Amino acid sequence: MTDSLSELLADLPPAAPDDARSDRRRSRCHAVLARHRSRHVDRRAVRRLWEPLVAGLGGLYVVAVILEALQLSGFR
Amino acid sequence: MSQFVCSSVPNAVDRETELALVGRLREGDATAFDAIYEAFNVRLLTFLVRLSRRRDVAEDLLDETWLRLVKHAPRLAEDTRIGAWLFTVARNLHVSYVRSRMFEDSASAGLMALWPFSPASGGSSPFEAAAASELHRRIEHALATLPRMSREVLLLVAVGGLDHGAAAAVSGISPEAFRQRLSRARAQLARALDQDCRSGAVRLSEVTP
Repeated sequence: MTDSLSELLADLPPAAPDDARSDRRRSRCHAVLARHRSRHVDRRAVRRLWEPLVAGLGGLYVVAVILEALQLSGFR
Repeated sequence: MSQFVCSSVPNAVDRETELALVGRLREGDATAFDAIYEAFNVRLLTFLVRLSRRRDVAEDLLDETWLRLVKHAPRLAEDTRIGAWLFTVARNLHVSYVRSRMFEDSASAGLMALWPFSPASGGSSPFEAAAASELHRRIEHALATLPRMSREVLLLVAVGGLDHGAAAAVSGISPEAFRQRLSRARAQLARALDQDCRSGAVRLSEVTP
């Protein structure tokens, strides 16, 4: 009985979507996704610039420390 | 406009495809969204229409469900089960709606008699089509008379196509509690169908000599 009830329920006709409303819904969702995508791209671009910049500054600092150490120890 | 169509619901996606779609959706891919939408929109709408028993409410909740998915897309876990996720959101939105509007199960049961149901199509004869339509009408009516939680568990399994574990998680209860609730709901549905059948027989005896 329970199996046949489940089958009967599963066989009920599905609800008919309203095409116009469905299109509007899809458009709104696409707009939200487009905003996410542009933010994602912006973040990637910033990361691409940020990482070499930090590495460069770090390198300069290390060079400055070495030069200072050499000066203090009388090599220069 | 009729509430229901007699077409098949698109199949849910397999796990491998689902994972790929979730990955692309996290990056904001609209085609991945469209694929998920095609796979689940009719199921979600059917679930919400039968759960809320109101087309306008179901459409509003469906809008909100899809919007929540896209707003939440970048934060989705890689292994998200998208079907269960969507049904959880839809179900929770309906619970919130019921709470906010103090929508009583019993209040609208009488409205079911006013609902238009589409005639069955694809039957091999007009008689079979009419019989299927009558059967569908009786099941719809019996389903509408059940308490919300009973309708919910039946619909999650039958319309949502979720396994018991996933459906239990959607309902926020343990699998064992879900099995008990489902069993109770099936018994209630069987009783409601039986009563509908008997009242139909009484109506028939009133008009036949």
